[in-house]
Amino acid sequence: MDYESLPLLGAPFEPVETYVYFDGRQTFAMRSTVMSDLYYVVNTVDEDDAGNTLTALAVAMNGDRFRAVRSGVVPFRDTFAKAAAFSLFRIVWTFERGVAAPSAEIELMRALDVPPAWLPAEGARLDLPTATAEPFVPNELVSLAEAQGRTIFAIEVETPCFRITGFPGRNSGELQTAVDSEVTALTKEVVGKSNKGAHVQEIRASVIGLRAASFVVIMAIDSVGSMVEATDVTGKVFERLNALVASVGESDDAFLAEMKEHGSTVRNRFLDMLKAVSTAGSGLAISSVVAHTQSVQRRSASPERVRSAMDAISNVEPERDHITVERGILTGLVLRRKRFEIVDAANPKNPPWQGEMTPEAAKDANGLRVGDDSFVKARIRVEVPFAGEDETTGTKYYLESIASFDPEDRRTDAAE
Amino acid sequence: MVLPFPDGCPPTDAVVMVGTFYRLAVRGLAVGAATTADCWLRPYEQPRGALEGQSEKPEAHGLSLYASREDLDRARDINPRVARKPVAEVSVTVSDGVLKHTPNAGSTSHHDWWTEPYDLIPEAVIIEAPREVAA
Repeated sequence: MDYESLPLLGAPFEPVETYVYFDGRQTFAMRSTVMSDLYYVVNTVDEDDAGNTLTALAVAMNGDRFRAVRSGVVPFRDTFAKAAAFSLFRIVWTFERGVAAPSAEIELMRALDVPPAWLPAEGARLDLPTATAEPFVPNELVSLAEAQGRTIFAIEVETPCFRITGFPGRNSGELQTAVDSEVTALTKEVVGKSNKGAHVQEIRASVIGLRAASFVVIMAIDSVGSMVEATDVTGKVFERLNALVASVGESDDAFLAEMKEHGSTVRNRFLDMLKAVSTAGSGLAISSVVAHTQSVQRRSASPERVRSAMDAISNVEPERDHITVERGILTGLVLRRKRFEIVDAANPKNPPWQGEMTPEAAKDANGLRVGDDSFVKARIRVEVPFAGEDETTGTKYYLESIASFDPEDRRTDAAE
Repeated sequence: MVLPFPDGCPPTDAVVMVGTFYRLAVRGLAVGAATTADCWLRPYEQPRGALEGQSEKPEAHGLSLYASREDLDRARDINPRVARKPVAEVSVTVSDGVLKHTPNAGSTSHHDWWTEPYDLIPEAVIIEAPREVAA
């Protein structure tokens, strides 16, 4: 049966792929060789056991519809049951004894007239991974970087449960925000150790395109207020970002060692990136071309390694330190819930210390008055997680001891 | 009548495999029944088959088998002609010939089986009835 030569619109055709094969093709797709965006999906549907005929349905569609059918976005039954007008054909092959090739009779059909027995099962989908956006070609980054004179990079992620080019919007937004923040944090880290002017600190990341494989965000560096990109800075920024991603892919030990090379802001923003991809079950890959280098650098980490790196971070003990408050103002106290708030009387505009109290501190605090004139002295334990969501709220404070401030104590101390 | 294999058949990359496979049988056989010779017609012999009369092609001598029943179920979901055939289970041993893994876009477990001898009529049992589709 030569389906590829049938006199349908767009003939002749070339086979695309087979979906059901049993002693020959039963369900398959073919594409016009003269109309590049015209596809037919063909399904054999009936045969005459006693006679000599075989019936197939063929439905014509454009590339977008074909990809939607192929990915499973469109149920396979609907491919035929909801075929557009003038797109569905019944093909009846007649096999004559002694004739080498069967003859085909083609008839236009309305979707409404298709017998239920000729339709695929309810809920059946092809469910094949399908690129629904332009494929990602790493070398295009070189071309873009050269054309635009700025650093271009691509973040590759994947969503195992998606059969089409896609990534959950929430995770995509979080990832893009985290990448921008990480670039900013790394820039401050780099510039802070050099004598660069303030203008190079205004480096941001912009999204300039999306590609498939399975999902790629193409981003670019914007140098705010500067005519040319400070590639000595962006070069180091991406060197460090690449090292971070590579360390995730390598091992937990390598990852923690690399993270320790950076301050808390860089660590936290990188953790944000990992969280955004991890919650979508994705790995992470970054391909970058620093302006004028014409060289693509690619580093990647598998979904398993990303999850492992997240676990490794949560297992790192927080950094501990103590603050001795010589003269604070007790502005909040809830003994039942063991919560406190103290403002530094020497720097009242600074954010207050807030947190939990130890049982001993709760005993000390019982009876103390809360108010603008309730001066106290206190000892507060500070715990800074290795990497957390936010530098300010991520830091935890524990009140270990508290007592009323007695000016006499200070005078005595001064005298001694 | 089953014909001897043509030149180049079976393909050189077909290998001996042992295990349980699934094949669609002809209509009219009940669950528990043994398959008949009609269930094992080579593709070039099958009336209304896609490869009928093309005995010069190696694939027209290979019998379609599925290694995964779930995979075959998916094929039956997609194709109503296939859904209306019963499913037979067959055990392939080292002396029964060679198989080649021939997956396609919709199936990862499809194999072609070139039997030894070439006209072997394997023994198999129907394990699943045809799907009834409302007409």
